[in-house]
Amino acid sequence: MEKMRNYFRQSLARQFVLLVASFLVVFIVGAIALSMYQSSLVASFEQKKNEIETKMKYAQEVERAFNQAFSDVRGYLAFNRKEFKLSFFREQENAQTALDLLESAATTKEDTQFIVKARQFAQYYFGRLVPEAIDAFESGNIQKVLSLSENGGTASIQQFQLQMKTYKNNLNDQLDGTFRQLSNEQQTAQTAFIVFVFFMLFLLIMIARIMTKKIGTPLRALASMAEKIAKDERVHNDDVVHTAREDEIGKLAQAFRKMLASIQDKEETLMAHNEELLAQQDELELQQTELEQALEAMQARERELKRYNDFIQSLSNLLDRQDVLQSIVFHMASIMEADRGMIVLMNDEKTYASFGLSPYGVEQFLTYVYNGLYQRLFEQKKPFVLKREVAASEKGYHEETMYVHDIFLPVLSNTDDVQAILVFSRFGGPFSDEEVQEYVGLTRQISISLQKIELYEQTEQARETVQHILNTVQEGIHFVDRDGNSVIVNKQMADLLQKETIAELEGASYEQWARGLVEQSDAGEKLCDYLRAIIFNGDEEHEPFVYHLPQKRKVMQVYAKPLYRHGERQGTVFVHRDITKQFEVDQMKSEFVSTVSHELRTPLSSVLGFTELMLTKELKPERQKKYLTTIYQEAKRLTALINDFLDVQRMESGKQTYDKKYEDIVSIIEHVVDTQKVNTTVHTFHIQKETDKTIVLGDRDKLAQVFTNLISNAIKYSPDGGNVTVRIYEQNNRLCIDVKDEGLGIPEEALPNIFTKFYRVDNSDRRRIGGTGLGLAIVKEIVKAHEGEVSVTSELKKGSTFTVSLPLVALAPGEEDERDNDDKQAHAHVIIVEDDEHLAALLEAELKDSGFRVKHVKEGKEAIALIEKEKPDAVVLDIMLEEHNAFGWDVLKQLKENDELAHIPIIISSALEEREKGLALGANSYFVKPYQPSQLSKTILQLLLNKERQGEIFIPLPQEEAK
Amino acid sequence: MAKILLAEDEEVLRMLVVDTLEDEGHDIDEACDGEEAIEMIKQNDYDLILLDYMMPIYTGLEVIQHVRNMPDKKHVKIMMLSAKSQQVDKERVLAAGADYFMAKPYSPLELVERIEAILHGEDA
Repeated sequence: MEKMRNYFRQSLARQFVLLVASFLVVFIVGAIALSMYQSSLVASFEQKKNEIETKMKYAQEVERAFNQAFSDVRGYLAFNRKEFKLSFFREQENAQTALDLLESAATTKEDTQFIVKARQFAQYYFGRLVPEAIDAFESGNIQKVLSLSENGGTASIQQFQLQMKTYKNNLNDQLDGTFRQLSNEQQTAQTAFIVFVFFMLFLLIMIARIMTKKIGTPLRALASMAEKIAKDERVHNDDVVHTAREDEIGKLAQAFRKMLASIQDKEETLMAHNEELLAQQDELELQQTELEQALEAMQARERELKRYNDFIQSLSNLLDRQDVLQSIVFHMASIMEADRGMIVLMNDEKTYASFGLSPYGVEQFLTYVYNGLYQRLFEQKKPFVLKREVAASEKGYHEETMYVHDIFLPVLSNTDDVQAILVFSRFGGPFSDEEVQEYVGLTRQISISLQKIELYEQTEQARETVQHILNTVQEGIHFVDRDGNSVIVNKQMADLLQKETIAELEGASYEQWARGLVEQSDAGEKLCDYLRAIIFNGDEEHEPFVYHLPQKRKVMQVYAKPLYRHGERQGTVFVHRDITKQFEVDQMKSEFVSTVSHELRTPLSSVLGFTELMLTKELKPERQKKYLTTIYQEAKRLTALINDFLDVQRMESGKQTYDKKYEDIVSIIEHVVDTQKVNTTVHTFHIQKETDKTIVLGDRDKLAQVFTNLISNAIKYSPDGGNVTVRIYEQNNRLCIDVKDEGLGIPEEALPNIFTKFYRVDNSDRRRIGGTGLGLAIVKEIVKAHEGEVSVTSELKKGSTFTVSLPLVALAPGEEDERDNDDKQAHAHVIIVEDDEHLAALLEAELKDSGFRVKHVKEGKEAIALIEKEKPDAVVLDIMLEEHNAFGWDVLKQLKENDELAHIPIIISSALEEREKGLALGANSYFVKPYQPSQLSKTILQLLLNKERQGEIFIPLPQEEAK
Repeated sequence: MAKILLAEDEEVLRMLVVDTLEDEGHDIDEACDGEEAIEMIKQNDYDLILLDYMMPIYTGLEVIQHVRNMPDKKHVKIMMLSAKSQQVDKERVLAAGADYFMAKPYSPLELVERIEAILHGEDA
């Protein structure tokens, strides 16, 4: 039993099930009881009703049988019809039967009483009355019959009928009573049902109450407690009720209590945490404040940086120095909020830019930039700020005392030199240290910018220089990148590509630049292929390509060189050379060869031909002589030709040497005329000498060649004879010689080419005039080598005049003595100490030729005496002198020991290889025999020049030696 | 005996050729330049014309062109004497219409031999 209770105590569900089950049991039992009662009611009612109805049926049967019997009797009696009597007897039986049935069904006393009475009446009626009446009737005793009816018969029938009636009523009453009883009992049953329902309801409420009490209340308590916890109200652990219970609520409560305990535990921890957090929060708030401050500082810095950036941006976008300075001044003024300011570069030009300043102010600043305050900048290299009273000129209409703040900032270069200075004035307020620091920072930017500008200018200059260099190169130079775009081009190339300016070609694509070239070239397609192959196919090695520009009459040669950087091909450099000259020279060379061949073959043909004739034929002596003369002349002609060729060749290659001396041109010309005279009989020669200054410095033979060529030309080209006049005169401080003939003259168009090699005027009248075509070319070369000029004037059919002009030499012939005197002063004096007569003579000649005055001694003693006496400008000293007690070394020593003579330069000329010793003893130069005498004169001259005595020396040096 | 024209501006060479050919019994006319040569060819019928290449006024080549343009001179025999002795020169000369070519310096005897051969129709 205890177990059972425990079993239920532990589970609410079980309790609930128990309650509901109990309720259901009660309900079912009640309901069954009620329904059974109800059905028992109906059953008893039915039974009673059946009984009564059975009785009523039998009663009615009885009544009917009696009534039938009555009517039959009366009918029989009335109508005397037997059937009635028979019916009557049937009815009698029926009545008896009915009565028996009724009797069997009788339950009550009234029934029994009625049956007794009915039986009595049946006995009476059937047993006596009717048999008597029938008997009477049949007997005809009507009276009796009547009497019988009157005496009792009728009355008893009536009585019976009354009884019958009463009984029947009684039965009906019984039925009614049974109904009434049934309805009453049903009412009772209904009431009971209602009561039952109410009872059930009550039970339900009771169950609900129990359940509420058992579940709702504790749950509510727990809920409210949970709510309290949720509301953060303090809940004590002991406040938790129902924990003693064993059911779910109990468990819940216990769990709740545990939970509460753990929550409280946790809450405590949380509280601790919270405190900690609060502390942290405080700290964080502190940090945030700090951060905010930092942020503010950052924002300030950012603004500063923005200004910096704007400033630097503006600087970096500019490449012009003046623009940069202007920008610096403007931006600095706006950053400083300064009212005026200036920047000056510390270069030679003092480049500057100013803001808010008058030209006068600028000028004043620039004038005193190295004085006063600014000097402080140069010395300290640090900015400084000044506060000063505003000058009257700056005040405007203000009357009160005002102050202005001036800031002086140096811009330092990376070598820490003051590169520029900045000066700004602010009326608005003083400059703080931070500001000054900021500005110092900016000056670094300015420094960088200025350096950048300088670099840019240098680069630009370098670029320009390169471009200039490229432009001065005669070749067209073109650098093309790998895509064929033009990168670098010089002026010549631009011309070649038919562009006005170099700029037009900047970045031009292949199609753009090549067109101009290809169009004008005679080998357009091939040139195009050549260029493309190199540019686009990257061909490395290519023979130069030659093309003609017919319109410009030029022959061009282009060659290409690939350009590499770090092993990667950057592009190609094309060099277009104008080889017109070379080409013409080549053509001329081949023409030259052809001409030479022709010119040589003609005399050769004669020589060979006549020789052959003489060898193979028997000739008369006259003819032999004629042939021999011809052979001789032709051989001479051949020689002259060969000489001319060689001369021209030598002269043109600069290998011709000239043995220049002072010569009287007149004697040369007279000699030439004498030689030429014999070749003609139709010409008359005249020499007109109009000046006395006819001395020239020149090579006698070569000058003779000049006039031979000119005079022989004069003879050749005046085949009909006439005067050949040589006029010698002075003009424009030069000695001029005209050679004039009265011959054919030269066509005007031929004049410019007349001195060109192998040029021969093609003229109908010249058919018989032979020549190599080299004579005038030779003339020109020789005259040129004498610093002279040759020109020609001519008139057709009247004759030509060739004029040679040569530099004048001041000395006139016939003034020999004077010249010697002059020589003593003007010419450097050299003494040669040499015991070898032969060598001495050679050296003397060489030195004299070079314009020195020379004396020669053989012995040492003699030499010293002469040197002491004459104090020459230089001494050439041999070491191995014959005189035994005075070697060259002794002479050298003695000279160097003598103060008066020590300065004289000494050149040792010896077969001994003792250069070191000689130089150590004070010789200025050391020649080891054998050597070129010309080398000696050069060295002496060099020594004298080095002694800066050139002012005293007058040495008319030949041209090539002066070089 | 044949009638021959020699056009040569060098007097010495003229003398050489004329002497040699006259010794062989030929009749020689002399011309000193191209123009003179053309004139003389117009006026005379020559069995052979000897032309120098390098001559004033008209060169030997120009003379040939003139001559070949004359209707009745199409087949006159022309020999070019030239100092330009290279094969190309020879070809050019022959192409221009010369029949024979001889390079300077030439041997007078050889020249005579060739002329005799030409005149006898033996030379090619």
